[in-house]
Amino acid sequence: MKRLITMIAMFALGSLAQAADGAISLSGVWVRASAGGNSAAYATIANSGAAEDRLIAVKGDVSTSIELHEVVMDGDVMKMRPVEAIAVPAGGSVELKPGGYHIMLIGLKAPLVEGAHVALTLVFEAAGEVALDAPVQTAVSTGHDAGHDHSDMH
Amino acid sequence: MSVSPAIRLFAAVTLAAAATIGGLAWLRSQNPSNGSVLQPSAPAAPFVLTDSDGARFDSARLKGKVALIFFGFTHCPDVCPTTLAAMTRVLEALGPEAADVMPVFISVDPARDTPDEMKTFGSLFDPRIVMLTGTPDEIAAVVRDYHIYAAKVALEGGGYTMDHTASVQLYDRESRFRSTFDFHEDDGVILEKVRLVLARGG
Ligand SMILES: [Cu+2]
Repeated sequence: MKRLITMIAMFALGSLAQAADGAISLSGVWVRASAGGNSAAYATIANSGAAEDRLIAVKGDVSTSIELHEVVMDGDVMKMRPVEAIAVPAGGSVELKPGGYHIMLIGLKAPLVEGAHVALTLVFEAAGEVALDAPVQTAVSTGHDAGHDHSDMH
Repeated sequence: MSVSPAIRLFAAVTLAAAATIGGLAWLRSQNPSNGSVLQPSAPAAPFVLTDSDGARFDSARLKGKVALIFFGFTHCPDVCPTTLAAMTRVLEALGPEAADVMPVFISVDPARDTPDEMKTFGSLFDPRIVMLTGTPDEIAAVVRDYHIYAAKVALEGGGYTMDHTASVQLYDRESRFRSTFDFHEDDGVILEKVRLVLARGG
């Protein structure tokens, strides 16, 4: 049942999360459950257009601020840094995932509980705004299963 | 991803893990700030910190257990929860063997990480993970003794994040350093590393 709901949610999300001109589409969208403080949102962003586009901002009122961040490894040291934009190549895609790019939700106004949804608006340089409802997944999620079946996570 | 499919990679993974442990896994514990490394079989440095109930926790309690020691902070949105999630799945996959494992999360952000904050953050993961914080002096000492890099970095919108060592250190039952893993590795590889250290007996 949970699997079915997930699939329906993902289908709905997939069809909704498209910019007006249709070049940008999102899949595997999820937000990590959090007991408060901060969290992160992830997605795979595909660009079917003939020109590169760039994610330049994310809007939402789930937290006091939202920034685009990248995690980089310096040896075995993890460093998280703000980035101005995340490029989505023409005819290609970029994956926001743990240990890479994320949409950082700073100062959550309330805990994020599995099964809830977070309203976010992604702002692209060319495609404009893409609104989506990102499902909150358990903090134990790998995110590998986002957009597929994560009902085996118990 | 559940652990069971990954276990099918058992043979390949065992080789990889054995090579890592037998080889020079401790290279991963290098601290870029001063170049110091943990040597294989180095003894775990003693510490006394505070758990998420506010009780003192003496590292002597690690003796007899395989310890997984990870340093991070509760405001970490990405690498820390991802690593604790991997620990949670691995503990589950270990089943009864997990009784011989003591997973420990130590804060590198004592200014924000009160025992209450640690408890709240820890509630998202396996309750067997011991959540430890301490005074700034206590944390500075344990960070130094475990060759951990940790540095505060201001964020644009106010507040700060922490750069820190992302690897988890594995200690055997005699509290000697044996290996590391981090969140980039598959559950099956991590599980096999833990099992190899468990199998050392002691
Ligand atoms: Cu971030």
